[in-house]
Amino acid sequence: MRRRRIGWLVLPGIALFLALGIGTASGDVISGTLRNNAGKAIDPSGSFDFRDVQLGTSLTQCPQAGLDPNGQPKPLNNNRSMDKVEQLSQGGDDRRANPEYSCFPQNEVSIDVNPTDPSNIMTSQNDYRLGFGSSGINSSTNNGNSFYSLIAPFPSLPSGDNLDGGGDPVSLFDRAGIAYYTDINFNRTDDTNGIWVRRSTNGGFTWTRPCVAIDNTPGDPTDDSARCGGAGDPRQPGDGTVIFNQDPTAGVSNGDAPFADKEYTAAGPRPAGVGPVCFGPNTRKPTMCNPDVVGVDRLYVTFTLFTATSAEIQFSFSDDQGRSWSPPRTISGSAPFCSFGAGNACDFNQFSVPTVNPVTGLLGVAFQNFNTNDENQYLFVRSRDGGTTFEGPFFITPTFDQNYPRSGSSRPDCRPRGQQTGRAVLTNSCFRVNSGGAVVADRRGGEFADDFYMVFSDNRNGTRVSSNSDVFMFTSKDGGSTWIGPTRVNNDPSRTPADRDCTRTTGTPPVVNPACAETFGNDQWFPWLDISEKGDLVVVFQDRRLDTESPIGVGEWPTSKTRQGNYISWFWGAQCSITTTATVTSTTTTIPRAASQCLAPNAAIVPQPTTGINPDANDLVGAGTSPFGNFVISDTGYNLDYSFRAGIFMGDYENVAIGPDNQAWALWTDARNGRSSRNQPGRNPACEQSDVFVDSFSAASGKNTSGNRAEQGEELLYVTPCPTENQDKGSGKN
Amino acid sequence: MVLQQSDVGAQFTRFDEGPQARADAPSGDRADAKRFDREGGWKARFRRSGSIETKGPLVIESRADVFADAGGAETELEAHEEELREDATLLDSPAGLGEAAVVATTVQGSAPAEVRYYTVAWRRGNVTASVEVNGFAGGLARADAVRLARAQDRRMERAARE
Repeated sequence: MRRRRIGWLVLPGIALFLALGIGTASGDVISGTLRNNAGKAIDPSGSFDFRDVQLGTSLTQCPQAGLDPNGQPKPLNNNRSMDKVEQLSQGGDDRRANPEYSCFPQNEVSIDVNPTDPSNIMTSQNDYRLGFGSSGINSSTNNGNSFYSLIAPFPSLPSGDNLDGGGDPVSLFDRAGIAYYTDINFNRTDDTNGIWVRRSTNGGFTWTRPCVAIDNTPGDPTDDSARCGGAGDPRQPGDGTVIFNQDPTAGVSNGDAPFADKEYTAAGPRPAGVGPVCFGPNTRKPTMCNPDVVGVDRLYVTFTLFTATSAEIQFSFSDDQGRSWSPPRTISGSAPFCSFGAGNACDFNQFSVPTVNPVTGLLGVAFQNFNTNDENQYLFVRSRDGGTTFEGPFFITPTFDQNYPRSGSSRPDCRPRGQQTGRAVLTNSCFRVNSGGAVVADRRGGEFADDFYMVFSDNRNGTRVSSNSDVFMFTSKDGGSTWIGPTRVNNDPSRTPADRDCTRTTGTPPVVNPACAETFGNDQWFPWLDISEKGDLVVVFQDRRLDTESPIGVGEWPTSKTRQGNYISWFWGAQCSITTTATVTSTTTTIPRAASQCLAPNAAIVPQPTTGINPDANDLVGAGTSPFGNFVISDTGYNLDYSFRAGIFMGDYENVAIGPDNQAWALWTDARNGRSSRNQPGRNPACEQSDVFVDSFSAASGKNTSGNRAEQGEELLYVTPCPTENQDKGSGKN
Repeated sequence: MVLQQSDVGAQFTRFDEGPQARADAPSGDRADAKRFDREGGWKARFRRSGSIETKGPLVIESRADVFADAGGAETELEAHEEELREDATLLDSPAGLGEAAVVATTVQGSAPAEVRYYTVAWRRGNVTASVEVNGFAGGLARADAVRLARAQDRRMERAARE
C-alpha cells in the first residue's frame, strides 16, 4: 500500500502562545461558563446537563413494544389497544432491556457479557423512571430473553445523604464473572458529586451500595480509621468510592466543587511483575490487600475532572474488586500539539475510554482533547505497568466537530425546544450529539498484543447547515504510538463538501450559501466497538441512511425538518475481521499487507504533530470506500423527536460487547415506544420517552435481517399521536 | 410574567413552563445564571401542529429574567442585542414596548420550506423579557411576534404594579 502523509496546517500564532505559557481556561462547568483560551466549551454529560429536569406523573400506561410477552408480569387492565406503530415494532427479535412500565425515558447505554457464562448479559442506562435522572441496571441470565431491572443503589455519604442523581452508565464483568456497575452520582441542588463502582456476584441481580468513608478521626490526616453508616454497617469504608467531591457550600449550586464526569471502566490482568495493591479509605495510601478479595483483574476507571481552570483526564484503579481505589491522578499529560495549556498541558478533555489487553495487561486510554485552536483532536495514552507510569499522549486524529449545526446559532429552532445554546445537533433533529467514541485493545496476545482499534464520528463530510456525520476507525499496530486512518465504517453514500466550513453569504438578511445546504449524506453517530478473541471487529452506531423520503416540513417539529430524508433512525452494525497484523511505526514507509486488513484504501500513517493542528476546511480526509460490511440491527425505525423532552436528549453513547461465544450484543437507545406530545399539555407529557433495546448476532458474520424491516410503515413514524387512552387527563385528574 | 395559554390561544399546547433550568441558559456573556446580579428567570414554551402552509407561529418561547436592579436589566438587554446582531438581522424596534426593545429576524432552509424566526427582547424596570417565534416564512410576520411580546409586556406591567 502506498504511504500517504497527512499534513496539518499549523497556526503560526500557536508558537507564540506556547512560548509565553499563556494559561488555560476559566469559568466552571456547573454554570456552563468553562472556556479555554480559544473560547471553547466542553459539554458535560447529558445526565448532568439535564439534572434539574423534573418529569410529571408516571401513572399513564404507554406503548410497551419489545417486552417479552410471556415472561413479563402485566398490569391490570392491560387490554389497551396497540396503535399501528406498536404492532409493527413489536415484531422481530429486538428485545427491550428495561422492563418497566413508566413512560419516562431511558437512554445512554452500556452492555457486557459474562465471560464465564455467555447467557448472562448486563445492561445499564440513564434512567428517568423515578421522575428524574438516575442509573438503571438490567440483567439477564437467559440470553437476553428477559431482564431483571433495578435502579442502582445510591452511594451513602458522611452527611447522611444519598446521592440520587446518576448517569454515564458502565457495565463490566471481570474475567471471574463478577459484575461491576460504574456511574457518576451528583446532587441536584448543590455541587456534591463523585464516581462510584458497585459490585455484583450473581450476574447483576443484587449489588453493593457504595459508601463514602466516614473518618473516625477527622483531625488526623494520617489515620485510616473509618466506618460506613451507623453501628453494624458491614460495608468496608470507602467501598466503591473512586472519587467524592463534597460541595463546600452545601445546598448552593455555584460551581465551587470539582466535578467528576464521563467516566468509563475496564478490567484486565495485572501486567507481569505487578502485584495487587489496596488503599486506605481516608488517606488512599497503599496498604496490604485482603487476599480473600483480591480480584482476578485490576479494575481501571478514567474520567474527566472539571475544575475552574481545567478538564483533565484522571485515573484510578482497584485490585480488591472495587473495595478500595488508588488516589485519582492526572494522566492526560502534555504534548506539543496541545495548545493554551501551561507547559503544553493537555488539560481540556472529555470522553475518556480505557481498555486492557486480556493477555498482557497493556492498558490504553483514548480521549477527546480540546486544547486546539479550532478542530479538536483524539489522543491516546498507555501504561505497561498497570497504571504506575503512563506514556504519551500520542496523537490519533483531528476530529472535525466545529462545523456541526449548533442550537441557537445555525439551528435557532432547537433552543425554543429546550436544547441548550451551543450544543451540537444534526440536521432535522435537536438532540445533542458529540464526536465521542471508543477504543478497544485486541484480545489476542503474540503479534496482536500491541494492537488497538478506535472509532468516533464527526461532521467532516457535512456542513453547519447540512450535517453528514460519519463513523471512522483508526488502528494502531505499535501500542498506540502510531495510528493509521481514517477508515470510514458506514458504507452508505457520503461525499465531502468543497468547503465544510461554509456558512452564510452576505446580504440582508444573510443568505445561506446554497452549496452549504446540499445533501452530502445521511447521518451516523454514537459509535462503539468491540473485537472478539478471533479478531472479528464489530462497530455499532445510530444511522439514518434508510430514510431518503421523509419530506421537508413534516414530522413532529415541522420547522426543524429542513432537509428531505435523514429523519427516522435505525441502529446499525458493521463488521470486519482481522486475522493478520504487523508492526507499523512512525518510520514505516509502506503499510504492510498484513497490517492492512479493515483499512480504507486511502488510510495512512498519521504523523505525530510537532505543534498545534488546524486542519484546512478543504482537506479531503473524509469519504472513500469502506471495507466494513454494514447491516441493520434494529427491526424497526424510530423517531428520536420522541426521545426526551421535545427530542433534545437521547443519551451520549451506545454500546456493543462480544461474548466468549463470539456473539455480539448491541444495545441502543430506541424511541419506538415514544409518541407525540403535541396534543397534551404539561411540562413533560406522558408519551415522550425512549427505551433501551438489545439484539445479538454473530460477530463473525453480522446480522441477518429478520422480522420487521424498516421500510414498513416508515410514514407512520413521522408523527405518531399519543393514543387517547394514554394521554394525561390534566392537573389533578390523573 | 411569561406568556400564558390565554395569550397564545387554544390551538397551542404548552409543552414546557416554569423556572429556567440550567439547560435553558444562554451562551456567551449571559451563560452565568448570576450574571448582572440576576435573581432568577422563568420560561413558557408552546407549540402546535402545522405544515408548510400554516400561517403564524408554530413554536413560541417566552422568557422573563429578574435582576437586582434596572441596571442589570439594561446590561442584559445590551448583551442580548449583541448576540442577536451576530446571528440575525435587527429590525426596527416596536414603539411603546417596555423601556427599550430590540427585534431581530433570521431565516433557515430554502423555499418552499424556508423557516422564519423573530425574536423580540425588551426590558421593563429590573426585568428583561423575550419572545421568540418560528414558523414557515410564507406565513409568519414580525407583527405575530410583536403582538405576543405586547401581551407579555402587559403581564409584566401588571406585575410591576402589584
